[in-house]
Amino acid sequence: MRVDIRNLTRTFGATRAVDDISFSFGAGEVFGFVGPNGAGKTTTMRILATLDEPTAGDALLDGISVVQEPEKARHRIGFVPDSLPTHSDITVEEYLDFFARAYGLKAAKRHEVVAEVQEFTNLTGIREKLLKALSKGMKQRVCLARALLHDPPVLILDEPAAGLDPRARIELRELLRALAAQGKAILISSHILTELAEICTGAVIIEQGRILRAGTLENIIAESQPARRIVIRPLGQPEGLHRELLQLPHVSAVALTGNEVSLEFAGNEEEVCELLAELIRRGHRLAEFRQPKSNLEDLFMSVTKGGVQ
Amino acid sequence: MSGFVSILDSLDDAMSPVVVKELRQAVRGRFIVMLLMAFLATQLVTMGIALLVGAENAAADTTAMGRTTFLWLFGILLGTCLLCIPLYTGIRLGVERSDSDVDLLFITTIRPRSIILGKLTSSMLLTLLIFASSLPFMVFTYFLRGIDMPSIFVLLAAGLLAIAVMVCLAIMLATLPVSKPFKVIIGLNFAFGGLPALPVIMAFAFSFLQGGGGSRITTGTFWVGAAITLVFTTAACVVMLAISVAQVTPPAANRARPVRLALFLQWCVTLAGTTFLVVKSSDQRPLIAWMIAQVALLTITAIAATSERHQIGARVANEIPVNPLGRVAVFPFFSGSASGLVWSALMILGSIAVLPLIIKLVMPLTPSNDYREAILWAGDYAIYLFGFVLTAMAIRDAGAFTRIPQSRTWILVVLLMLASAFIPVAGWILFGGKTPFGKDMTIWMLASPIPNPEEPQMARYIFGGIWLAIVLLVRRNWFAERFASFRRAAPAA
Repeated sequence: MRVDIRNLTRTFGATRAVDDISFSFGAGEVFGFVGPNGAGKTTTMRILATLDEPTAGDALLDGISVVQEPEKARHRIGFVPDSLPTHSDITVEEYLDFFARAYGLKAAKRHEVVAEVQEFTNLTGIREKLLKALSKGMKQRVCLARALLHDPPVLILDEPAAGLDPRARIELRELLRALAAQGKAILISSHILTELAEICTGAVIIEQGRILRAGTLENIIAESQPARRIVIRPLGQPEGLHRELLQLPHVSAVALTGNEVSLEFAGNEEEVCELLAELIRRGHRLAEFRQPKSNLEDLFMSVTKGGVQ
Repeated sequence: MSGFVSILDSLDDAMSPVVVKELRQAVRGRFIVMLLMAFLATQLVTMGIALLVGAENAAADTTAMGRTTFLWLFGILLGTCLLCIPLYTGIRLGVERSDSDVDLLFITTIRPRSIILGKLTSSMLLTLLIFASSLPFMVFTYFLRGIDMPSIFVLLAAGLLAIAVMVCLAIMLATLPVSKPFKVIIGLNFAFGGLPALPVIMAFAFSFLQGGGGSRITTGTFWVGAAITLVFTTAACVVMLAISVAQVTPPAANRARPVRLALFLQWCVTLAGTTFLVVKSSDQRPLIAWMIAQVALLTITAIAATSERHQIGARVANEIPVNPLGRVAVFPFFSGSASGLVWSALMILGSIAVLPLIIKLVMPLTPSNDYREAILWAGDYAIYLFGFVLTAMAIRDAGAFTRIPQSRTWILVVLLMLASAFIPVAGWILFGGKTPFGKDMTIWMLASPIPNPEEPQMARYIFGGIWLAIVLLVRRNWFAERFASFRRAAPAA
């Protein structure tokens, strides 16, 4: 399964909610869709879920266009919107049974699928509970279960972790990991970037309808940071080390923070090793020498301006 | 045993998911249970009182006791169902429409039509449940004398029909894309507007029983009347349901098609029913009333068409036939302002043109000129209607009144019509005597959308005709562009 978003554009009057965006992801991948409020994430996801139509461009699910063949595309998509079910007088099992019927599943198969999905999402114990009696985390699991009923190869989740407590977030993360391991292609938007960073294999950063960065997490972080950041903590006073680092090749932006020295290094992995060897040769006793990993949060803050439309 | 289970499973699968869900929720919810219990208690008390009064007056004439008791029970039944069932249905659908659950249904295999029909079916099943619970009491009145069994069932059927109409109306109002406060206002209007239906039906029931309606059940006249009532109410229900389906259909789809097809269907069916009435009564007035009603209904579609999108999306374009003749034939049945205007114009033209044809056909010797006057009046009105509609669209597209979005162009049409109807009247009152044409209302009312049947129409026809020709000329490129872009979308590269 491959999801290809091609030059997707959606305008509302004079506003370009989504402006010529293209990216793709495939089976087993979890793609984070990141951007400030009003960036165009929900609009893109609704187009992918066939609930909205692009002004231009298309999205293909293994070659099936969501514009030209929405009925076919629907069988391949499970969509979890950013709102929770509001039905009050219906149990978890009845709710899932309703959607299973709506997906056209017949009697025996329907019972089997509902039971399986309930077990997978850990809802079996609360299947007789009314929806109104569920916590937000449980309702979110019900939403995920609903999206899985027809076993879609593509899952689209719009802010699934919003408002969840830490435990519910961890449970959701584990479920998504399991689904990715089953080979589902997952696109997930969230404001909780630390959560996304832990499960995503790739990300798309979008602002004012335009893509700022897209690709695997490693690639987009590497693209955003041409120089490596290195932090060194010597034993004793760091001033001498600071002075010497300024004279070494590939080194720039040397800064002293407490008893640590941080720097930007333009060399490759080999040259990083040589830098470390050189410092030791020069008699510096180093307690720590590390390359802190940039995370999605840093990346997001560095590439976005917080602009909304 | 397994055969029986598989039959049950097949039946279960055949049921609409919406009906299953609605009935589950209704059974679980407190409203329906409380309503049913309160209703049963009231019926029981009413029956008890009737029996007690009957026993006390045993010596007196008790021949009307069954009829009186039935009317009480029938009133309670209708009052309960006419108010509670449509309100329950409308509120539930309105609440569901305000969250994303209806949206979610569209990514399943379920169709918008199934959602609306499911709502109607479940509401009517609840109504039948209440009817069934009251049936023993109703039938018991037969043994109290003064009422016959056919009358009981005819009146119950009439009541059921009235409730179906009200439920369809409630569904239609609940699907309207308006804000919550506005929905509350509509709901209250509906609740208090729906109640007058009760005395009307009760008056009918009373006269039906008094006139011995049950004894006429074997006559042709009875069945003709029943069939015509059924045709007209069904046509009204179909139109309301089609509007509801269009409202819950995603904007990316061809939302106009179900509405226009339903309106076309009701046009044909009601025309057939009215023609039958004209033949039976040798009176042309039902046909004139039909034409006026159709023109009024189509006025709404013409004004609404101005607010439809100008360009159709790729998903809708995918349904356009490739064949040029097919394109022309289906153009009026597609979403889009140009299609809507063409469809409304054709339907209004058809409604006016069919009147003389049918009257000549079924009443060749009629001496009355009523229908000719009605045609002239309707023609005058139609010319002005399209003059206003196209003028408002031209003003809106020229960039004026940009605070009114394109999807609300209908407001501009209504404002123009109101201004043209009332400003000349004010002018006539204030300055009538000071102008060269003095107090002559004809000149003052030349731009009014409502023709005056008392005034000569030639001036209005000339003025309206020139006006319409000018706006059509101004909009010709717009129409040409709309039709040129009305073609199947090219497949994605």
